[in-house]
Amino acid sequence: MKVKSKYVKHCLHYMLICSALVFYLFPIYWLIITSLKFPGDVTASPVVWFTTKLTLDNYRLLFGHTGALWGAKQYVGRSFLPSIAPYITNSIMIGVLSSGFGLLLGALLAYGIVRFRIGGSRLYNWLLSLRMIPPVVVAIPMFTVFRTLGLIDTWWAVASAHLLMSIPFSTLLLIGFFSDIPGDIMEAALLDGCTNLGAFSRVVLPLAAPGLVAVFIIAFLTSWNELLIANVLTTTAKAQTFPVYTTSFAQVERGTAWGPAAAGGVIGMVPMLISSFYIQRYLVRGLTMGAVKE
Amino acid sequence: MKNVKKWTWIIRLVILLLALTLPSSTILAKEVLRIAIMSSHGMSDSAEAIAKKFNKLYGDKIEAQVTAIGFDILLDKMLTDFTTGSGSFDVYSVGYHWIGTVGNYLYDLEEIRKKYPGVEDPNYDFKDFPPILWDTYATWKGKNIGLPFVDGTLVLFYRVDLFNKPEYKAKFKQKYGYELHMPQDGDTKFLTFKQLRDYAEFFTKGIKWRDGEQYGISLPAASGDPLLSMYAMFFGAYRRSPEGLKIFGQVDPDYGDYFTSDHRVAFDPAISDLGIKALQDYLALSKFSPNPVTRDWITSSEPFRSGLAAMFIGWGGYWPSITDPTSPVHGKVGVSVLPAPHLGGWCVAINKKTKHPKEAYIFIQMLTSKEDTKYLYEAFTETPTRLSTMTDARLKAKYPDLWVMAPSLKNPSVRPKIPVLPKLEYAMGRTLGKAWTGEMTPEVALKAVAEEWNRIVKQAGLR
Amino acid sequence: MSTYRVVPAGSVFDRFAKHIFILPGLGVLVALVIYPTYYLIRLALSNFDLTFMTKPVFIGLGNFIQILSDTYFWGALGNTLVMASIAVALEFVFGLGMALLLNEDLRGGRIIKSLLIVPMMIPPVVVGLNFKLIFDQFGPLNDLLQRLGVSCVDWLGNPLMAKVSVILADVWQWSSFMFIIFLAGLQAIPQYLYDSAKVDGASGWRTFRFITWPMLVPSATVALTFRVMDALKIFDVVYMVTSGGPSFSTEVLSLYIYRTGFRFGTLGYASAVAVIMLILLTAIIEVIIKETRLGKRLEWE
Repeated sequence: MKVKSKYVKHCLHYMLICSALVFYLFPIYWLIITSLKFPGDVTASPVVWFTTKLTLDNYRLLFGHTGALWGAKQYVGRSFLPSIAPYITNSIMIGVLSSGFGLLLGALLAYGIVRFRIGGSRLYNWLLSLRMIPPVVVAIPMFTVFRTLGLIDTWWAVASAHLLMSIPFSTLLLIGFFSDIPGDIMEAALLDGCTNLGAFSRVVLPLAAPGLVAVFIIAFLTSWNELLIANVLTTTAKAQTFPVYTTSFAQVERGTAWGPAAAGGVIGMVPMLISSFYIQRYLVRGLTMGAVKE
Repeated sequence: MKNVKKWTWIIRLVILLLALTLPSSTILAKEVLRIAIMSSHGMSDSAEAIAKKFNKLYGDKIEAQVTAIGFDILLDKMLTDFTTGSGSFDVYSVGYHWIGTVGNYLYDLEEIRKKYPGVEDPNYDFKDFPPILWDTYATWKGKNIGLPFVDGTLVLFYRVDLFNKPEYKAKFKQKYGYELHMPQDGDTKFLTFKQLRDYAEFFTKGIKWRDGEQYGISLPAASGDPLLSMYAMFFGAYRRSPEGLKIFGQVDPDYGDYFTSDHRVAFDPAISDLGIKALQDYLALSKFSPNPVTRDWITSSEPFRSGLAAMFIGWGGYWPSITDPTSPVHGKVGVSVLPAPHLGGWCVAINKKTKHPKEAYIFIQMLTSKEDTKYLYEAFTETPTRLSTMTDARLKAKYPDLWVMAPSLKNPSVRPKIPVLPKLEYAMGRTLGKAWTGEMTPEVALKAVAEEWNRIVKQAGLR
Repeated sequence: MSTYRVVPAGSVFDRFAKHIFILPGLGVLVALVIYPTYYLIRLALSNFDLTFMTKPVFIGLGNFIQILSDTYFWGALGNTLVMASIAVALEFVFGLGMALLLNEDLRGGRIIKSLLIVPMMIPPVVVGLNFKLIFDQFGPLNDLLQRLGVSCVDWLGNPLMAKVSVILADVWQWSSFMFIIFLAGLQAIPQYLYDSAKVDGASGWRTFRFITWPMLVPSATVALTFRVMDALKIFDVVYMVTSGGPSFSTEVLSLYIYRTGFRFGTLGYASAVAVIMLILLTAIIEVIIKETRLGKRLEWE
């Protein structure tokens, strides 16, 4: 009797988990299958839930190839979707610039805070509150400032705006990582004749290396995902990032390019998914800026 | 020591990447003429083709480069570019209704023609543009600020197979007492709104013509450009009727159909009930469409493309993509003139801050030249702005949608070309949309929009 | 034999070490925060219309007075607060539920956990795009409802349902955020507490109420704080799914500021709205941080 009820409970448990999985994974399935469908199937009525008639055309279109965008095999015209390649490059460069500098400045700041115990909870709160600043609020003054500096539509403009997110983030997270390092080790290094800079670079940083990598990746991903600031501070493919590119699909005159749009989405998802395996260990810490440790 | 290496490679990598970014931002290529074109099939392909031609002629000195930008952000980007003076682009495709907003930043082409006497193409033939297009696309505050590039009029797409089926024709006549007929080339009589509504009703409820859902018509009412244009179409019919002209006065081309000759908001219920009548026509037709409030130009075309709707109101330029061979409605689509056509369309204009006004002028002149307009229409289905192409017998025989263009230009309604247009668009979308969602009655909604518009126009000092 | 030590401990460099570590980062941050904030306030007090002006003109509090009677602003503010609070509440429930489900030893638990994190990893723009497709009148969701014999829902066309759609998209993406934080919290609860509860014969609910929940409170506050912060500045998903429609029932503050600033070109007015948004959010977050004593989490103090 008891075994049976336990069995029922177990089944129920799995059923709940399965329904959660369906809820969370179906949209991803839909994105991927849309990216592989032929144009006629994308908005077909009745809805095509599953099909084996798949194509990679949508991906080819994103890289400047001609294809069956509207199924228009007869109409000889280049697909007018701009190639995704420069946008990805911009995204990567802006991400590297902002998270690289953010990491550097953040590490110095975090070490200073941990080593010299300055700032206290007030500084912590201030750094934390920077996370709350809405991008749109930053976007307006940044736009006018970069306008006067003539930096609109450059990597530098977007990257330095993203620093506003990456520095506080790196600092807060690294404070946690650095204070995990036993004080003895640091003191030993200092007694050994190391300068503060020496102790920092030869002892603290190597010990926190895995943390540094995680911080870099999460900061990079934040920059990768950011739309509003990147949209406002850029005008052309010279500096526009992947999310800005994605917004342009729904605006093509002759029917939304759902297929290529979904393909673009899949491409934009990939770096996130790959790195999510590496940072899973640090994810909780990273997302809460060190407020919760796993 | 091993540990030290582990982290230094990160820093080295970062420094290397930083070093790489520096030169790439400073290297200067040769002179470039940058062209920003709305990302639609015809427009960007045409610009690309002409750019190739341009580069063959002048490529050793200056290279034309085309960038396609999406419709929704093109205006934002243009405004940013103009006001920052960053001069990202020398040439822009400008929707005519944006001219008021960006007009101050556009070159007066007459100046260029005077400054560089040899620049004009002797075969250009300005007279070939229909006057309405020249006045709407190319003229603003008496200046010539662009050349007409793409003609866009709202037309009616319909399913020929349904409208020509004898069985349906008979049933329609029995029900409504007159023929089910779509105006063809040569017909002198346009449709009336009543006819359009009857047709839409008939194919929604009157007859079963497909399995599953069916709609008589698909039309957009999403806030922004679609709602503004569609309502202009319905209102234009009243605005330009003898009664309307008597009440509102002549249409000021810079202010469009929405304003009286003394620049008051014409659809204001306080002036007459014509605005409400137009809105009611719009709402009545909406009943036979997939929910219009969510649908913009693109998404309202989708039900028609997938065979759910018997008619669809959209821009003439949609024709090639709707009739393509793999589409479920391929070979079943015809085009007709709407009861009261509405004018959209684009000009190509030059950024006032450009360093290459002469080259830019040569480029836009090539893009809109007499012989190439025909070529671009055939090659990329770019809708022509020249009468010689619209009425070309050979092309008309080959392309069943071309005939609509010329008759659609008879007295079409136009949108305002004033600086606050984006605000007006937003105000209309926000409030008038409530007439569809049922939050407001048509009268209340329209009155609220009129008040809002009057306030915006007054605040901008336009009255 | 320390003759080669260029910078000996206690030298000038080390005396200023504190500043050398602190100043660059703090300096950049201050430059990035203080100057724009100052500029924002200055703009907020000026009339600056991009369509015909090249320089802002000081007008004092004019913009703020205009905001008071701006129904669009109040509408957007209301929408933001309503949608954010409902979304965060739902995310809280979903996240907690999933964490409780997956806290037990299950076959494939690790994989399931990795899969459940995926939504959070997708760029919000892509999420928006995808949900626009899913919520379409003739899209998969309505098709499913029809197959189940329920009538279609006009997801994006009805003012109420449009709000629901945006909330659903947000919940879909961010409940995994709550989930992993709760899971971490749950796994940190020592097993002996449960064991002793079992010995006492406590029911499942009582165990949750008196052991699990109190131990989870710290994680819960952190999770809530961060989600509230992000939900109040929601932009991407709304921009992509509804862009504020229909009849602006899903217009949020970020979108409204973006529109007034960069579409209408009235940067001065947009700045004034942005200042108000900033003050409001700061107040909300200050209260939360103070109440939850997040700042006290510096263990080394």
